[in-house]
Amino acid sequence: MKINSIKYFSKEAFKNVFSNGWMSLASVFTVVASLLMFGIFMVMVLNINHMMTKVESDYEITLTVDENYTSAQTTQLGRTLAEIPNVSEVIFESKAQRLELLRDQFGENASLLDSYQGERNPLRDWYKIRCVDLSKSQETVEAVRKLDGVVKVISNEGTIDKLTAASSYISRMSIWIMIALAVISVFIISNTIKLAVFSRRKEINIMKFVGATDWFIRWPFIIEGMLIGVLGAAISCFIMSLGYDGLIHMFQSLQIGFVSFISLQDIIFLLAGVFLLMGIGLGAAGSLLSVRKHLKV
Amino acid sequence: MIIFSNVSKIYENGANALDNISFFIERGEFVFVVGPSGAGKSTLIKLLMHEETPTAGDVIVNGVNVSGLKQNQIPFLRRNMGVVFQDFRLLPKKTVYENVSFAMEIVGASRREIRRQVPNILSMVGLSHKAKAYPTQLSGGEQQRVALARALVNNPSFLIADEPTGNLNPRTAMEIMELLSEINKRGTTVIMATHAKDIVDQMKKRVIAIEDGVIVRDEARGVYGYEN
Repeated sequence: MKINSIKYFSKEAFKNVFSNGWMSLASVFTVVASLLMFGIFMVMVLNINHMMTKVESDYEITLTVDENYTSAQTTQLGRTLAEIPNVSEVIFESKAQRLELLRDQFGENASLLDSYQGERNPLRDWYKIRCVDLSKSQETVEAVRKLDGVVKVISNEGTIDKLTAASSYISRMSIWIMIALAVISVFIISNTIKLAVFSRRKEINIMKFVGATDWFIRWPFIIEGMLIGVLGAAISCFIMSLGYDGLIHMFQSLQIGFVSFISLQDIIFLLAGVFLLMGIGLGAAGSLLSVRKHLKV
Repeated sequence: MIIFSNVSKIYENGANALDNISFFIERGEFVFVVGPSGAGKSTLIKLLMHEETPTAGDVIVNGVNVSGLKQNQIPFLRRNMGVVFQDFRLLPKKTVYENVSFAMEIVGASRREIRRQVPNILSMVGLSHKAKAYPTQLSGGEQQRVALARALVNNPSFLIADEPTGNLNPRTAMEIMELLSEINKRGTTVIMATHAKDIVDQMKKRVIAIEDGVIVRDEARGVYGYEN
């Protein structure tokens, strides 16, 4: 591509964005609308994934050790546990430690527990184990149950399963919705630009018989589309960051237990990058689509 | 040099616009293509421009068989020829100067070339003083001069004029013809499709007459030959 031509393309594109003022504005807002929709789903998926990893990393199976086990046997059990495939971490808490923790929780009323000190401690030692792969936690629980010396196994893998299923369902749905949104926006934008192209079909026709190549005719429109996309992306990014920040504050003030969000700083660059790429892509695709039919002369 | 060799054109609707016509036009010629409406004049021009492709036969322009051109080669064919139309086809939002420089920008000319060439061509068509005017501020004859300037600014080897005087009064039409004649004398081949009997008779140039898609007459110093 010649330098002269690049200058010409950019000049034309800028001129057109301004001379088709209202049309450009309409296109920009179409981009903003689609990007915002897209962004909402993206943020949702990201946050669900974020929460899932948090829930997963917090997940542990608790198993109570037979009270008649000697400390040597208990230690042996710990080693056996560590050898079970899919177990990533084994944490031991003796009954004395657990009583201490309980006392902490009782706070001022800790003296109520005084009679349970030493030999009379009714609590049992327990192990907490974490899994490498949560989807196999069911098997791990089964394996742990079969071991000698394990009295009781507490796990909430049912809840985890449901959460995992729900989150993967939502993620998959959202991805389809995002793809659909992208396709729809390309058509809406191409329609808007089509009007701009239509109003300049005479010019395109003249360019054709003066000997302009198809790409020469396309480029100004593509750049115009990209400019609209970039503008739309900037506006969407601004709105999105304001909205997201507000939403986080709202949820945090509600103080729902396991709900934790990705902070705005962690998400803004990804969001901005995706918006920019999508805006440029949508704009360029929309333009290409709308110029196509006018080039056949 | 332009060669039409056994060219036929049948449109999709079955209209037989050209029927096995052959002729050639040498470099530097001035040729009128005449005939009643619907005789095939426009089709002939469209075949030259590659707006249409022949159903049969070959159109050869400067040694290149136009019929076999790929889509992306067509622009380079068109850069060999300037075109003017009955309805001028100027861009209303651009000034006279811009309407002409536009044609140079399209072929990737540098700003310096443009600044040298456009004033030259505008002075040739006698419109230097109207460079900053918009097409709507010009008379029909002046608009056609702008169109001519645009057609010639890239130094094409052919000038194709489709009814260039159709919208002009007789006096202005003659001025345009003088200009075309002048352009022809400078070496540009001129092919002009027209209905204008007076002009053809007066110019005494080669005349190719088409009727119902067939060449009925090809005279070196011809006349229009039809009673309007």
